[in-house]
Amino acid sequence: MKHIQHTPIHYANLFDDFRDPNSGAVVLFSGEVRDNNKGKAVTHLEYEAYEPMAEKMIEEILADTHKRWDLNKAICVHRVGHVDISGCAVVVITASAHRAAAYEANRYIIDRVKYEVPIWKHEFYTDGSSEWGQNCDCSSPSHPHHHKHEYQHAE
Amino acid sequence: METQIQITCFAGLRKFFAPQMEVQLKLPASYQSLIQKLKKLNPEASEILDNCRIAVNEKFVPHNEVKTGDEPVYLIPPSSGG
Repeated sequence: MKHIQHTPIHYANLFDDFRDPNSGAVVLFSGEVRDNNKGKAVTHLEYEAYEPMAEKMIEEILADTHKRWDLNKAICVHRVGHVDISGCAVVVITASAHRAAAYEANRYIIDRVKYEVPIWKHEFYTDGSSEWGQNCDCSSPSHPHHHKHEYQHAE
Repeated sequence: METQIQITCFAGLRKFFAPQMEVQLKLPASYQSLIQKLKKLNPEASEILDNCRIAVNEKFVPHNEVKTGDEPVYLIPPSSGG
């Protein structure tokens, strides 16, 4: 399965295809486009990826996840291109016999995808300006320090 | 003798550099020295360059690794997916 998609993500279809008789718990996370960020009204986002690496890295993250939790299935699909407000930018679905593994693994996947995989959002605002997003905003008071960097920053 | 290195820039880096460019570098040289060279070309890009990862052959390389060949270099600004 490809992890980077140029067309809208229909997660309801993915979810339906995901059911399996061994799974008592299926968790779906959808990262959706908000109409505001840092006090500015957002019109839409455009996502860009270094696709060959993004594909490989998401595959590796899913493989790591399977080693850490007893999952029956896990998928992650991320959009590139134009995504409108309330559009799905990324979806992660995890399935396990019981809910703890599906919940925890789902959070683990989305956190690593957001902070590690070479994908970038470009936010466009109603005032005509635009800005490239940055998830690793460690100086922000709201920055959730639950993630750990698995890669090496510049010295 | 200097070698011509092809560089690809993504996302916010393109505010400062072309998506594809070529830089002359005397090899062997550390990737950090390539970053320093780019900072000299555009000092306004210093902050984002300091936070970039570097990928070669679809793998991240440490900035202190020494580059000996002319493989293309991909500059990866901090991720902002999701």
